[in-house]
Amino acid sequence: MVSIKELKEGLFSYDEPDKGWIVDVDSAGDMLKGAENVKKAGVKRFDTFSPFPVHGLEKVLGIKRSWLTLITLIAGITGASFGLSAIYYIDVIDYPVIFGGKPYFSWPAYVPILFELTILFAAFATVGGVLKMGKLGLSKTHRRPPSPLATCDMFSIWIGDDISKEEVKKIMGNINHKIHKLDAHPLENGYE
Amino acid sequence: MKSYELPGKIKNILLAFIVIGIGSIVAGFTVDAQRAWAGTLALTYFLIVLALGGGFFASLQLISGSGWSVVVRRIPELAVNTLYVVGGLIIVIFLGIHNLYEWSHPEAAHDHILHQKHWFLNTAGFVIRILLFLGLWIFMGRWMKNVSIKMDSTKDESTKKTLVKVAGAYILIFAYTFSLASIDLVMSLEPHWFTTMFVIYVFAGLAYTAFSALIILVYIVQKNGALKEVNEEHYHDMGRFLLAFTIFWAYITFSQHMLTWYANLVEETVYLERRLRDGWALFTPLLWIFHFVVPFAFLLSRELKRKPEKLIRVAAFTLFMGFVDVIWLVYGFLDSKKIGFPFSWMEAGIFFGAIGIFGFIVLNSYTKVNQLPVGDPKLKESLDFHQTY
Repeated sequence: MVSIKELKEGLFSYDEPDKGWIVDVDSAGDMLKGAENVKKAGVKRFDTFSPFPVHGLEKVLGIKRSWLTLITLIAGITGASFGLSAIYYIDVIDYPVIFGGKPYFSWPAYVPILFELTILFAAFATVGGVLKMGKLGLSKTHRRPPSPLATCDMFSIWIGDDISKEEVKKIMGNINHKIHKLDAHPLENGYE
Repeated sequence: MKSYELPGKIKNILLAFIVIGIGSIVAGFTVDAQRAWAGTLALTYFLIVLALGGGFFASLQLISGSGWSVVVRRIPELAVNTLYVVGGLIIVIFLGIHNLYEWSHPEAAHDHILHQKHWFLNTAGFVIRILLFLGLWIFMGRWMKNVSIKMDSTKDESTKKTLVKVAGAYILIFAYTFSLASIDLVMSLEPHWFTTMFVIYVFAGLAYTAFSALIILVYIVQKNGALKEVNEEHYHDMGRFLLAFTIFWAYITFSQHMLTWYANLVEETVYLERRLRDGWALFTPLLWIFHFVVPFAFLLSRELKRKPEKLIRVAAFTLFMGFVDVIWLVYGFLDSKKIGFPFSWMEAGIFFGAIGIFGFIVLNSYTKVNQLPVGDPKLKESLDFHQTY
């Protein structure tokens, strides 16, 4: 179960790149290594940009487990309770009819319906939650990648702390990289 | 790569389990022969479930082309070796055919339903079918195991392609033969009963039992300093498989019993009715609670699935419940007044015997082969396996 602290931190709670350095590297593996170096160097504000999800990156970035599962659980329980109370009201209170010699409250017959309502509610809540938490479609604030190629074939690390270019170079060590100022990225206005 | 060494302590424990198992059956025959026959059948069927479950897991992973499971695939591949012991036990079952199966009695000719079913349920057909299935299982399981072991040295893509084809054939043959064997061995104990869901019910139980056994074996092997490559990521996936089939078993069980309850036909309700009186009145609800509700609640937790020392406790419990489910299936034809509570010292002894036989054979075979399928092209993918949230 997620803790309250994790709930507050949530998913997608990272900083918006506004200043600092963009480090372009060659591969996803280099990006992972670079991000580990950045973290070890004690940099507070940093992020990575890659065209696809990279395994192991969420640990380096300190992304917490999403609380979407809790939304799904609550919506599922709501669906089941709604279904049970609705059927109970119809079958036992409002219009009791005997079917096949069974009692008014024949719970085994309700299970498939409750099961389906649980899934229906949970599914809608999950899809809604993904859209809301991922700021997809419903929100006007879209997170802007520092370069258009970060959605195509480029791997970048953003470092937002106030450190010099030499320090960034030292942090990256022997990883093959290029360093740009965030607002002067050569790819900002097209290809190099 | 160094192969696994079975520590003497574990070996002795497993051998002691086997002695307990044999002792319980022998003692059982002196106390209540009818019950001991049923117990022998339960032991045989449980071993078939464990052996075929291993093959099912291995072939499922192969035909789906999954990468994560390569590091844990060697152990289930070896489960086929248990079938030699099953062969011996099947002979015992053949000797006790009149004690177990009502349709084998001469009076069956005067029973309308049994007379109608005689073309399928007759002694000669039963013996031939079971021997044929057993031969097929051993042949296919050994074939898959041998190709996989051959791949350790060839290390090429073409052997893997052959292996996937063998796995495809295995799973097809498994589906038909396990269904028919379950109908022959277990369902025909109550030959007047009609259902269309029996086969899928026992299949759900098979996967549940096999995944529990897999988790336990991997953990034991790891405790003895081998198979270091398996980490929490792999346990997480094995735990998820167990959770999936815990839910699947409940789904199938509920579907079967709900339809029986709803339709209320005599030839269907007799099965459940028999299992809700006398000693069964407590046993059946306990089975439903401890086979599904309790493991389900535990296995939902992500943290538990990622901690092997916690997951292993749930897996040991679900393996035991898999056996209890077999008892539930097999013991129903006995006189419920006479047997009382259907789980006594004898069934507990048989359970220990079964895990002793299975564990000893599989772990002993494991000492003779590579710990991992080192030639599998997907091994790297499995070693680097990682779960995201």
